[in-house]
Amino acid sequence: MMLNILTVLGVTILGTVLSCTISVLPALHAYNVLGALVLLFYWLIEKGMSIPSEVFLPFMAGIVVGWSMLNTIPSILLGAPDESAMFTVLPGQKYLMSGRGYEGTMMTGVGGLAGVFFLVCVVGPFAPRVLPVVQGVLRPHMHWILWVIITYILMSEWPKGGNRGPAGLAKFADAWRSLGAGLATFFLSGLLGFILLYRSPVSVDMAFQNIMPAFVGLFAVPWCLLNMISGANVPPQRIAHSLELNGDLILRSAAAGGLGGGFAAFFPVITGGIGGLLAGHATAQRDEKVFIMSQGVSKLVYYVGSFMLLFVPGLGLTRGGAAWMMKGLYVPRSYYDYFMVLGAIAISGAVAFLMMGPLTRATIRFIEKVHYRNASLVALVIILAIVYLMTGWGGILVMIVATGIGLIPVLFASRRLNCLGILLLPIACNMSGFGQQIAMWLRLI
Amino acid sequence: MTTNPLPGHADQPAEITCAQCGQFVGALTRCPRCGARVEKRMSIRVFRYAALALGTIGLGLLYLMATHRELPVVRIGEIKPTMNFAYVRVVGAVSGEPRVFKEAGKVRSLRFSVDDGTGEISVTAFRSQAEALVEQDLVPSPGDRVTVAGALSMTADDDVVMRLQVTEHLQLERAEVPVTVLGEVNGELVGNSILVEGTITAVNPPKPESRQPWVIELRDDSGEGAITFWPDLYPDIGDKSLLIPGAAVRARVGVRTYKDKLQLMLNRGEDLEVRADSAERQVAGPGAPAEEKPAPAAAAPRSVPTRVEAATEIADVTVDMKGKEITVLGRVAELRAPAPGSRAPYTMVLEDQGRRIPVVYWDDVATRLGENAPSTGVLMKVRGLVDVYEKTVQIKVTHSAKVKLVDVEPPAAPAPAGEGLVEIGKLTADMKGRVFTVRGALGEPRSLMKGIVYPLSDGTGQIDLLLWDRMVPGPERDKLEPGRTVKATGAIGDYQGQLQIVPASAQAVELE
Repeated sequence: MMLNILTVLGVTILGTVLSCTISVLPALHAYNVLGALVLLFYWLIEKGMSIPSEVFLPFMAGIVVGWSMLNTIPSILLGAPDESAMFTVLPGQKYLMSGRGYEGTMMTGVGGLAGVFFLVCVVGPFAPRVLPVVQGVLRPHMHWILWVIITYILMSEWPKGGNRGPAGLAKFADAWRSLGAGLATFFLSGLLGFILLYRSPVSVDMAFQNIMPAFVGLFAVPWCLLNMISGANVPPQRIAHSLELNGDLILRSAAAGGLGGGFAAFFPVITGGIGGLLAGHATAQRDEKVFIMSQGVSKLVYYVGSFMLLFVPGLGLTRGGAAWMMKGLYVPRSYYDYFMVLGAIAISGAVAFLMMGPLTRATIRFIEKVHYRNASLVALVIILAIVYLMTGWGGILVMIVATGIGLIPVLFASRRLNCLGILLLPIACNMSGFGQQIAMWLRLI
Repeated sequence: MTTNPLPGHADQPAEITCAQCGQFVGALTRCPRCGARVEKRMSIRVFRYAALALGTIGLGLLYLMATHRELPVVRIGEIKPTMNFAYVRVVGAVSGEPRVFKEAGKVRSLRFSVDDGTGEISVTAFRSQAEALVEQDLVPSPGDRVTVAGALSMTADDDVVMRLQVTEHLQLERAEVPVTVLGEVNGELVGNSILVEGTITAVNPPKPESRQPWVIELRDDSGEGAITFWPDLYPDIGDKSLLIPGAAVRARVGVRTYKDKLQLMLNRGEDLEVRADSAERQVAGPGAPAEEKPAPAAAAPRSVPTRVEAATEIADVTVDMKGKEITVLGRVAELRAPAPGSRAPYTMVLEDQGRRIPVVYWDDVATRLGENAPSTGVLMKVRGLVDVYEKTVQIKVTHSAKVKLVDVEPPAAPAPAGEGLVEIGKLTADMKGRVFTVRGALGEPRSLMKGIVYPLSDGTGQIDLLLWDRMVPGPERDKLEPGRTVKATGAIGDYQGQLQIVPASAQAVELE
């Protein structure tokens, strides 16, 4: 038993350290790395090697937790967020351009740490009793809740222009430019989702990564490209010795972020970005620090919580890419797995937070020496290589098309959240029972 | 106007900050703070429209590519975990017994297995797809050749399932199946689909509300066998009222083993065909005259619940018969259990053709009834002594073997004709007790202690359609939904000034 505990501790730390390293690479998503790891595990299993669950469960938990916490560093300092971090980017960029990038990053990290506490100490003990009941009650209602969320996302976007100048077609077009771009993004990405669901160009041998090149194209590549074409110079950053936070701020942010992240983790297809949006609007916290921290909480609770749900005894809910990949490798069955994963999350959270300060400082030193335009170019090359190696030319093709769609909201000043139409639209249609009919109209099946 | 410019503002290129207020604007062409226009470099403008073009044209091309791409055919043995979510096609033969899962009479899912020689995979269709397959008679049988396309779903438990998304993706080629005589059914046929013919020797229905299957015992010149099927198939069997000992049947069944015994599994109700000419010689329902001459195949000395043994009609049981052992057949109208600690008997009131008789028995019988335990509405056959208690004729049962459950479904009796179809608005309280037929749309139901009431309206008026549990059992009522048009025949009643129509059986309520 002691050996098992030491093994869990060791691989958790190993996974966390690995994820911390990859987290600081802009635009590289944990799920890309997890996909490659899962492939490695399949290969080992095929070769007759047996990998104990005490090795790969904490290892994967370490990667998810470490990445969820430290991904903030490139999001704020290198301007390359994944979709769940898009709401931290605007205030984060403000901090960066004010020379307070370190402060902004560490505040999000504090939020992440609060998220770990929320998951381990609040959700963990009650989840096996409460969540199966909640799931039983909500299951028949999931489809219409998804439609409500879609409606909310589309309708809550406000026009970015059209409020000045003489009335007329020009003013109307100006008002509708960003709104129209948002709608176009949503429906174009929705159509892409339908294509990928039924007739993906990605080889069937790698179908479990069908959606990966699209996500890379929608979120990662546009930021790399934008960083490369934008001419912003990052001002000198100063290392703050105090974040000037107190318990009240942390509690408020944990409540708001936990709500949004928890909602995103529990509901199918809802991602951290949507959870962040809902939490931000639902709690209406005006304090900038609370907002930044709550987004850190929300992001961590979404990524780690959705992974954790797979292990909750009596629930067996598969949410998020990590859980889906894990399910193909291992199906958790007992409290043994549950407590092991909870322990790994706690340890990993602690290690990741301790690594956050040094890594943030190292990244700041890096961007002082290397223009992040160049860093983005390197990141772009890395993700292109990953997409090609995992999904071949079919994946590259999907990524290019998705990049076109992903650039629309960025360049037309609408929400990048609309890109999530890729999942929301086809899955909401399927859950409502007419997805197949639409796929037939589209002659996809 | 320059307000609160950012640190390092002076060092930033003009196109990423607002010239008016110093706000960082990134790629925006209008400052979100002050609304001033921000001039952009050429590259940003180019990227903007290039992105739009790339997104739309690229997606269009991807769409064309997708619609012109053939679904890949995979060999089942070569399916790997990394193929999770792949939309593929497999070609093979149906290997297991297809199962149609129903809930409240509605098809919920369909599952069958396909073997292509390299491996086996489960194919599942849900809800509307499963329902459509059943309606279009596309439920495959073991041995049928299929080409089926769907999305793969797999877990670490090696649980690989293909989800059929549209009925068009199942191409079915029915296998020609020769008749196999019962004596030749052996272990070598396990997993195959065969056609059997024979004469029913016994019909063993499941215990009410149990999850046990029906078992129909057969015999032909070469030997014996038993057809097993799940209760949800029973409603799909044509002429099930003829499903009685002595009737000749033909069925397409799958051969499988259960607890080391061979079993002939019926997969679709439609696959069991009763030869009407043989069945007509048998008694068709409660109260009908008994066939004196037993069918040859039914001669096996086995105590099974049948309708061919001579039964006394409930109406004919009189006080004069006290002490005589008789058999009666009837539906359970009422069940009464004794109070705890009481020495009173259990009472089961049987009803046939409007006449009722109580059947009494004590704990020693009640606790041993097992699969023959009665429930309201089921058809029971009881053998016991005629007795008189407090001037009421009753039947006293002393052994559990003398209580048999015959049928859990309502009798297939024709609906009563009554005085014909009448508009609801023309019904009055004066017509109480007379039998009429009305047609109308069902409203929202309300529950009663032992039944349910649907408001029924036809534009001329409204009447309560009262469905008692004992007359119209739950499974029949489940077919009714608010908004559906029904034709109901029943006696007119009046309760607290509200007219009611009370059908006497499920057959008296027809969905249109």
